[in-house]
Amino acid sequence: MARHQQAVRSFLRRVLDEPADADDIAQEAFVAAWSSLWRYRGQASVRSWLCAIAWRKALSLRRSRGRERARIDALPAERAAAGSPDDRLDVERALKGLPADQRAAVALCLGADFSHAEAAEALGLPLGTIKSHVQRGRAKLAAALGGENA
Amino acid sequence: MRDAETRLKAYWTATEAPARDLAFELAVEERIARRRLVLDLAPFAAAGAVALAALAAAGPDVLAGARSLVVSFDAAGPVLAAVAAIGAVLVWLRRVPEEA
Repeated sequence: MARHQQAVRSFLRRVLDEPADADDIAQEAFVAAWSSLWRYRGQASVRSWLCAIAWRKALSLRRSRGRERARIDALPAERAAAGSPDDRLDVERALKGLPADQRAAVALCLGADFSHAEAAEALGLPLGTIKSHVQRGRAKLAAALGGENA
Repeated sequence: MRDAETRLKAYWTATEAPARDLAFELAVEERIARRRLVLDLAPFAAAGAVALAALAAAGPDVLAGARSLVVSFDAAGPVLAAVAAIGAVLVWLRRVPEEA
């Protein structure tokens, strides 16, 4: 756990909106991994397997908090409209603008140096989809972030 | 584009979890211990529930059986008392006489 907690928590912090949720989900993911350790057959890397569990839990949380999320999503947009200089909020807003799968693929491949194959295992998506998600996500982020200071 | 990449890199760095976090690891250990306790106790709880259900279902029959057992003990009372008295007499007769 000590070896992989950083990857799982960082991933969740980037795909979920609340850092507190991220740590809670990460804990749940590790407990779930402990419970289903017998299912792990070594076909994926441990961190991909853990991130896959965490991603399923994150999706479940996002579904259950759909309405609340919509309300939270509006908050950074209001701040940005007010001309906030905070880069982090800008990046968060740009990431939130991506579809969930794309955001997760970007967080893994660009943010955590996962290979496309590892990200495909973690997100349960075909390799080609991951490549396309990363490419499009990167382009959208560049447009959203690079354009503001141009 | 370069600016976007710089800002993204700064964001990845800012949102990176620490390499070691004892509080987090302890919290996970605690949750696992709790889960393990539940898993350990689950068979006993299930067995208890089954026993209670069986008792509730067969309760009247069990009570009737217990009642008949008590009644049969009542009938055997005088015989048991006589056997006990004879035993006591035999023990008294076989006692070792005390030396004067």
